[in-house]
Amino acid sequence: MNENLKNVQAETVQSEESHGGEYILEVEHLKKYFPLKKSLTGKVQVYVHAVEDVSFKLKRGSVLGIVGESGCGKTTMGRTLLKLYDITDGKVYFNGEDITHYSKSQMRKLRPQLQVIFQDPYSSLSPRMTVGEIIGEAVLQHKIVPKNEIRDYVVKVMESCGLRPYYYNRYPHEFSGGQRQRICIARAVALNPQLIVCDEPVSALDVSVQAQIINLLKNLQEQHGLSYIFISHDLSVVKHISNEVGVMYLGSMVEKGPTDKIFDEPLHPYTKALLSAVPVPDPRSKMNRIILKGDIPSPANPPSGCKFHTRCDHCMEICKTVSPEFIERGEGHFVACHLYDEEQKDIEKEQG
Amino acid sequence: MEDPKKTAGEIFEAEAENIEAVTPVNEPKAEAEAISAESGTAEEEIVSFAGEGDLEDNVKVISPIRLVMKRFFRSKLSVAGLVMLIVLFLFAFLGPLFSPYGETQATGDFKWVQSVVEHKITVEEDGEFVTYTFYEVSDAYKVYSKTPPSSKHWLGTDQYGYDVFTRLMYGGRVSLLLGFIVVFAEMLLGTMIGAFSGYFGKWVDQVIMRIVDIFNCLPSLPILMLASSMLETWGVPAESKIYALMGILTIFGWSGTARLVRGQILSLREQEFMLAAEATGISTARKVFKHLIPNVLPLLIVQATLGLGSVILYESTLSYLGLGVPFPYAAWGTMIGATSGAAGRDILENYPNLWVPAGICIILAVLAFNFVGDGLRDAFDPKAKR
Amino acid sequence: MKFIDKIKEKFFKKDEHSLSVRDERLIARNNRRAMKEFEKKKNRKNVPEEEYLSQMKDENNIVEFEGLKTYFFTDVGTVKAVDGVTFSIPKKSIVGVVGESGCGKSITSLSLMRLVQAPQGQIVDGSIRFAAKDGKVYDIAKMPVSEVYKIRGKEIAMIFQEPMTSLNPVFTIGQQLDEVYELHFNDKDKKKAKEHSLEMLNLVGMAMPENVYKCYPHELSGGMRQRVMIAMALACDPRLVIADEPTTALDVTIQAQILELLKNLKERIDGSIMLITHDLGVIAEMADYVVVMYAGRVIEQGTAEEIFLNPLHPYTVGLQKSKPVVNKKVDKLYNIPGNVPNPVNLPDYCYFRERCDKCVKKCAGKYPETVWVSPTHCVACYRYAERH
Repeated sequence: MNENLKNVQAETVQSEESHGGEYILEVEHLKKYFPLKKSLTGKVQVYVHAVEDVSFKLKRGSVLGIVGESGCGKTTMGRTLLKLYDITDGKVYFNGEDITHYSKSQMRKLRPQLQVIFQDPYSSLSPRMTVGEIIGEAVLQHKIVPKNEIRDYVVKVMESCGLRPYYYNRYPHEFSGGQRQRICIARAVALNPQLIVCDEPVSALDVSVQAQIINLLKNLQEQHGLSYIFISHDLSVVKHISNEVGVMYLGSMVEKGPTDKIFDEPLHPYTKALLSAVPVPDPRSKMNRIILKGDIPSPANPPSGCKFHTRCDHCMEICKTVSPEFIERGEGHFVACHLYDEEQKDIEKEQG
Repeated sequence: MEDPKKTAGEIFEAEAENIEAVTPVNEPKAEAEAISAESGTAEEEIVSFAGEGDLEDNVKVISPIRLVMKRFFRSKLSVAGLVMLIVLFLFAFLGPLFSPYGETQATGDFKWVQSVVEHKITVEEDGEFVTYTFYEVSDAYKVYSKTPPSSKHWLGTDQYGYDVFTRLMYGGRVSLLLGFIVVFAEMLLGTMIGAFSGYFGKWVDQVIMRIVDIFNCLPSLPILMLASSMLETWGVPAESKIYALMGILTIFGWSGTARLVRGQILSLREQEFMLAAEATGISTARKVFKHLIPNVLPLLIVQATLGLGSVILYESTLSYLGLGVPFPYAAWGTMIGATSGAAGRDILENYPNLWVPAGICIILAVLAFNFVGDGLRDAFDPKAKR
Repeated sequence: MKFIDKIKEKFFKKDEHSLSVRDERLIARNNRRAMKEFEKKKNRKNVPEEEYLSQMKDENNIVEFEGLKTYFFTDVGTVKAVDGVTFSIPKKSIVGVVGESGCGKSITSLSLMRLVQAPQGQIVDGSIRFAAKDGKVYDIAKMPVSEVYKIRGKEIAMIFQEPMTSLNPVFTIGQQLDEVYELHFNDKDKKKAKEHSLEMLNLVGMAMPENVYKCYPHELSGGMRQRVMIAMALACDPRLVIADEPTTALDVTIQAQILELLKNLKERIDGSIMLITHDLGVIAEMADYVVVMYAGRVIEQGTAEEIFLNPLHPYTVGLQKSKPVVNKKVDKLYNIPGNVPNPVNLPDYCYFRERCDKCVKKCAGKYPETVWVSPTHCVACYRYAERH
C-alpha cells in the first residue's frame, strides 16, 4: 500500500467493520441505468438497465471471471465499479473503504490502485504519444518514482511485460495488436495496482498471442499478488484464469461460483447453453448442442419475471412473472433460477 | 512497509529476469533449453534459430510525419499549390529587396506643373468700380500620369507615379501577413473555446455553442463595413487601422474553428484512450492538452490552410470597399479598388495593368492555399486510399 | 540548435528500424512501375476467351488455387500477402482456411473474387481455376475485370465478417434482396422478386420474413443481419460461398445458430463453402478439409481429422496447444513465442523457425518444400522431408 492510499483512508470515515479484511473488493447491489429517452421537460422516461443489482466479493489475490454475451452489461459493470461511470445505486467497497461517493479528486488519488485493461488495444492508446510517454505519464502524475528515474523505471516495466526497450520512442501505430496490448498492460502495471479490471483483454488478439498475454497476466498476478476481475465472452479463457466465475445475462448475475463448479456442474440453463455453444477444436466431438432460440432481448425493455425465460427450454409459468432470487445452492455456488426452488418443483409435479 | 518508490523499481527488475525464463518472448534464446517432450520423436538434434533474424522486426517503419509528407507530395495538385505559395512568398517578402523603387515612392512619368489661379477683385475707386485681376502662380510641382508597362516599370505606374510591380509585392506582404496573423489568432481562440466546450460539455457546452450560433448568424460583411466606418469617425490613424482590421476579422472567424474542435473533441472524448487516461488518474489539463489537442491538430492545420484563402479574400473585399488597408499603403484589394470612384472608369478601361495583376495574385494565393489544404487533408487522413 | 536537432530527429529518425529516404524513393519508384503494368493488363478490353479458359486438374474440384501470389505494393515495401498458395476446394465440401491475422487468408478469398484493393494490391502470378455452371473452366486470376462480373455474385457469393457495414443502411432489407434477384436473374418483375426474397429469408430461418422484409438494417440484431447477409449470398444460387469470419462478431450462442444454419445450407445449395476463420473450434466443427496458412503460405493442409488429430507442422501443433479448452485443464498455457512476421522482405527460409521449438539443422536452409504425408495431407516442414 502506498502513501496515497493511506491519505485517502485517513480522510474518509471508517466504514462498517464487516468490510475489508480478506476481501479487496466488495460490490453490493450495484445498479447502473443509462437514460435513453427524455420527455420534453427533461425528465427521463426510459432507462437502459445495463447493470441490475449485481453483488459479489473478490478475495485478495484471486481472479473473478465474468462471462456473458454482448449487451449483458459486463463491460458496464467493470467500468461502473471503477467509477468511470457514475453509480446509479448500490455500494462498492475497495479494501473495506466505501468508495461509492468518492469525489473526483479522491478517486484520482486512488486510481493507481485500481487499474483497467481494455478490449481494443487500437483505440485505447493515444495515437500521438510515444510508448514511453503512454506508460510513464501516470507514473509521473502520481509520483511513483522520482522524475529523473522515470525512464529507467518505464523501461523495466516494459521489459517485464515483454516489450523491448527501444520501443520507448516509437508510436503505437507501429505495433501489432499483441504488442499494443502489452503496452496497455505495462501502463496498468507500472502504477503498482492492487486490482486490475481486465475487460476482454484477449478478445481482439490472435490465438498464439492470446496465450502469451494470458500467461503474462498470470505471471504478473503471481509476482505482484494482483487481483483481477477478468471480463470475457470466451468461456475457455475465463476457465483457465479464474478462481471464481460469474455468469451475467441482461445486466444481472444469473450464476456465480467456483470455476470448477460452474464448468462441471452448471445449474442455470443459460450457463448450460453457453457452455455447450463453445466450439471444441476436435472434429470427433460433434457434441449435442443446446442451441438457444432467438436473440438477447433489449436491455431497455427486459422481459418480465426471469429475464431468460424467453429463450429458456425449461421455462415454467412462474418464470414469466416472478423474477428468481440469487440463492446459494451449493458451497459458494449461487444461482438465480426457479428450477431449483423445491416448492416450485413440487407444484409442478402436482400439476403434471 | 518500505518506501514504495524504491520497491517499485526493484520488483520489476526481479520480475524482468523471471519473465524471461518463463515466457521467452523477449530473449527467445532461452528457449533452446525449454524443448517440449514431444520433440523427442525426432532423432535429430534440436537447433534453435530464435532471435537471430527476428522476422517480426524486419519491417522498417516510416515516422508518421514523413508518411504524411509522402502522401502530400504524391498529389500533383498539392505540390503545385505549394510551389505557387513559395513563389508568392518569395515575391512578396524578398522581391522588394531587389526593387529599385519604394512602396510610396513616386517614380513614374510626370510633368512639372504650375497652377495659376486668377483672382478678380473689384474695388470701388472714386465712385467707379475697378476690377483688378491677380494671378497666383504656385511653385512648380510634379503631376504623375498613369503609364502602361515599360522596361523601366514592368507593370507601369499608377496615377500617383508609384511603381505597380513594387506595390504588388508590398501588397502581398500585407495580405499574406494579415492572413497568417488572423488565422493563427482564430485557431488559438477557436481551439481554446472549442476544447473547453467539448470537454466540459453540459451547460458550458450549451452556453458556448449558443454564442457560436449568434456569431454564425451575424451578417459579417455589413458589420465589418459598419466597424470600419466607425473607426474612421473615431479618427483611428491609418497605420493602426490594419490592427483593428485583424481584430475584427478574428472576432468574426473563430466560431467555425470552435465548432469544429468541439465536435472533434466530443468524439475523441468517447475513445477508449480517454477512458484509460481517466482510469490512470491523469489531471484534466493534461488530458486536454496532451491527449485531446494533439489529436485535433491535423484537422486544425487543414482548417487553417483553407482559412487563409478566405481571410485573404475578405481582406481584399474590404480593401476594395475602401475599408481595409488605407492609402498610401498597398494591398491587393486596394489596388483593385482604384477602379471604383470617379477616376475608376478610365483605369478600368484603359489601364488594366493597374488592377489585373493584383486580381491574379489574389486568385493564385487563394487557389494555392486551397490546393495545399486539400492535399494536407488527404495526407492526414489515414483512411484515404489513393 | 536543440530545436533543430529535435526536428531532424523527428523527420529523419535514423535508426536501424526506420526506412532511409533513399530506400523509400526506390520503393516508391518500383511500386509505381509495377502497379501501372498490372493495372494495364487488368483493364484490357476484348480479350479472347482462350486466354483465360483452362482445365481442372481434378474433375471433383470446384476451385483450384495454384501458386497464387497476391502482392501489395506499399510504402514500406512489397507485402507478399499471398505467396504461392496451392490448394483446392472439392465439390460439396466445406474447406476451412485457418490462420492468424495477416496470414493472407482473407486476401486469398478476395483474390478469388477479384476484389483485392487496387491499385496497391495485385494478383502477380498463379492461377485460380473455377469450374462454372456452364461447364467451362475459367482462370479467374487471368480474367479481365470486365469478364469477372459473370462469375462474381452469380456463382461465387461472399459473406463478410461485419454484417452491419456490408448492408446499406438507407435501404430496407427487402429492397436490397430484391435488387440482388433483379440483377442476377435479369427479371424486373417486382412480385416475383419479393416472393423470391421472402423465400430466401425463410430459408435462413427468419421467424417473420414479412416483417424483416420491411426492416432497415439498424433495426435488426447482429445475428439477424448475418442471416440476411447469408440470404443475400444465397439469393442467386451460387456454387461456392465464401464465408470470411462469419461468426467472429457474434456471440457464442448466436454463433452456434449461424454455424448450424451454414451447415444446413451447404446441403441445400449442393455447393461448397470456403470458411475463413481464426477460430480452431469453428473449423473443427464445420470443415471437411483444413488449410493452415502462415505468413502468406500454406504450411499444412489435410482433412479435419488429420489436422486436428495428427497435426504435423510445429505451428499447427502450437496453435492447438495454445488455445485453452473448456473441457481440459492445464496449469500453464503453451505459448508460441514471438509474433506473426510481417510479410515484407521475408528471407528465403522457414518463416516459423525463429518461433519454433523443434528446429533441426536442416532448417537453416531454404524455405521447405511441401511434403505429401498422405494423399490428402501435406506439410511444409523439414522434419518430415526425409521420411516420406
